[in-house]
Amino acid sequence: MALRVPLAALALAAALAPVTEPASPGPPSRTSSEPTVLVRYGFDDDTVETGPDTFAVFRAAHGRVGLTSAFRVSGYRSVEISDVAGNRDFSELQGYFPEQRRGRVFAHFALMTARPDQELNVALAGPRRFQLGRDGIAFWLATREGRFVHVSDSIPKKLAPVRGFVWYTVDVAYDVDRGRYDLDIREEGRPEPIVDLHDQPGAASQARSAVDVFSFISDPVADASDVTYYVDDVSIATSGETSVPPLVAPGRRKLFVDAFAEYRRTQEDKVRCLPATSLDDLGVGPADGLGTRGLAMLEGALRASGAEDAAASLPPEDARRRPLSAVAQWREGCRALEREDAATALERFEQAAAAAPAGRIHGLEAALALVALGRLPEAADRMEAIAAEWGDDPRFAIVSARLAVARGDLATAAATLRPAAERGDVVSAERLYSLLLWDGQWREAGELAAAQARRSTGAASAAWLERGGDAAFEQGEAAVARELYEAAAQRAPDQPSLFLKLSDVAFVLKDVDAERTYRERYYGSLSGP
Amino acid sequence: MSRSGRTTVAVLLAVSCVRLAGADPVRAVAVTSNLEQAVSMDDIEAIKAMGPPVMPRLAALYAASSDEQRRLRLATIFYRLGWKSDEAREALMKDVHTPSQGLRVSVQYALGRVSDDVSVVDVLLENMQNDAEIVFRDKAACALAYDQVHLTPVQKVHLFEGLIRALNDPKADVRRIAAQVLQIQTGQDKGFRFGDAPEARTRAVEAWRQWLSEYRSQL
Repeated sequence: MALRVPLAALALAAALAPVTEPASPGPPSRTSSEPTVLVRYGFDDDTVETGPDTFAVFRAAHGRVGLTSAFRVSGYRSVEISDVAGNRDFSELQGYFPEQRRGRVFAHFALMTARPDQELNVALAGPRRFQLGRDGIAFWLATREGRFVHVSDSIPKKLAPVRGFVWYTVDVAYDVDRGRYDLDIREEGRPEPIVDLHDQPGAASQARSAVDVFSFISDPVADASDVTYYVDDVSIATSGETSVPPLVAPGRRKLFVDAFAEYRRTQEDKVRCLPATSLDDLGVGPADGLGTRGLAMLEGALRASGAEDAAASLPPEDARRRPLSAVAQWREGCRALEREDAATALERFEQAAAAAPAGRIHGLEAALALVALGRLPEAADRMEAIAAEWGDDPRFAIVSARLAVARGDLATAAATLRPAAERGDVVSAERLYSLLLWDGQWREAGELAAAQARRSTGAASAAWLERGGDAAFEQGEAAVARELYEAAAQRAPDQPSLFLKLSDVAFVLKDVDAERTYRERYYGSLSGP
Repeated sequence: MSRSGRTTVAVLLAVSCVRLAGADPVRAVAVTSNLEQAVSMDDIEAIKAMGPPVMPRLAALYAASSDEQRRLRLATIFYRLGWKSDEAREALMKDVHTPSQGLRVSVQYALGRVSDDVSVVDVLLENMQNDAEIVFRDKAACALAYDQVHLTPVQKVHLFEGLIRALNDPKADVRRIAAQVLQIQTGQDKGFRFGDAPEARTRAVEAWRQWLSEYRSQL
């Protein structure tokens, strides 16, 4: 962590100050013993456009840092930090909080690494940033050669081994006045801590060493780390108490089946836009490619209340202009859909899709607008055209269901579709499945999926088995769901979503080892040989 | 003992470690494919693009050159590349006692950037303590403070042993710069003041020895 302070991060310190105000702060400190939350990130904003965490992460990031929904301790998302050895750069997530020169500071976070043999570093530091000494690094945790290491009294001290694809929760209680800390690290699935240290000298054994920044980083010095790791549930608090306050009551971990239900609720009374959950959805590419100005424009485009398009001020040759303009069009389209002006919405979404073809959300919203306009055959064509890029994303399932419902009342449509589906008409079967999902008829949906799986082969069979697993999981039959997903994975071994679902099933079944295995298989399916 | 571009406690220190000439990382350079041309143009990006295998060739250029300014330029390139190379270490070591001030400083700085060999630590410790010129002693300390970037934790023990030993040097300036290097490396001083009475210094040195013992036990 030493010796290098990203200038961009320093420059952003002032700008970040309001952002790092707690999104959901704890109660105001009425007495010195009550904890005051200084920073809390769960990385679980429902949407890109409204989430304070999202832009806090993007602003505070350097290198390859992004949100991911693949792994998380709570909610739907965590932050992924990855690096490539020898790329002459490092990846880092920094966050600032009000300087603490006295009292006790408590830090809580969860981390999971895909590469335990590769170096990562976590630090709490003060105004002199990432160097050893007073007001520099106060707490420094790292992984080296497969072990946790903490730098205490300027000495790298070995702690417990680190296992890949296992979440660790870390709690630090740092006594600023004495420059000493307690450290507690717990591995998921194990009741006892794997590290339980008390009254340790700080990183450089400095009393009254202030702190005001935390950092999650790869390897800033040797550029030799190929690490990919994940961070979730970051909280920093201060308190007069000597013990760790109840810093974090992380939200329930959200499973993939929750997403469908939540999106379904947003569509209850009328057609509404489905949210963009990543910058990829919007076709603007990675945040670090936007630069500070582009990021500010993106945030403005997503949140602006007027019709202005700030990206229009960019030179025509600027590669950011078209995707950022597309975001503004998309936002206006969503507003039009909200006021039930589907014609205007469709026009906006089409313009957005033309400006940013990589933004898959634009095509999906256009299909939704077509549904709202009653242009159902066009909507069906549009859905068919974009199906491959959406996979099993629940937002696609929602629009499919919307379309199916729009084609007739549920009972009539189901009665029409069922005989065709039973005769082997795949399109009718899929429409019927969407209808059943929309209506919450999970048992019937599961039976349909099982019948279709028996009737089909290869990838189609795997897809129906996966749907059957979804239906079983939704009904609380996790063991059945696991069998169905495993069967699907045998037929479609390259389908990453199956491993994530199997991981969720293992989580519900409290099978920690299996969960780890599935995470690893998912990661491997993305990394490739 | 601070270098431009680094934010360190060393800004408080009395001596200065001047940044190496020509180390401007944002300087626009033309890409050249020829190593000799790249060296003569100080085209670090072009040399970086050739990758670490270029190091033996650079070392050969260094060894073959009788032009002191050219060797200084090459030493600076070694420093900026920061790639380990036995050939570069061997070439540079031949100038580690040169009386030429510019070349000596550049060589002392570059050595740690191309090597993880404790022989480099030893020669820099020797220069820090025993060179006749105070400026070379000081710049050797700078190199020990900032540039031993490839040392393993075990090799760092060797560095710390030498520095702690130097705290007992009869020359006050050596005690001072040795303490400064320890401060920069660890962020601590263990209460050592180079001008204190011998008994007080002995107590602080004992604290450093105990610290080193614990450091060693963690390896």
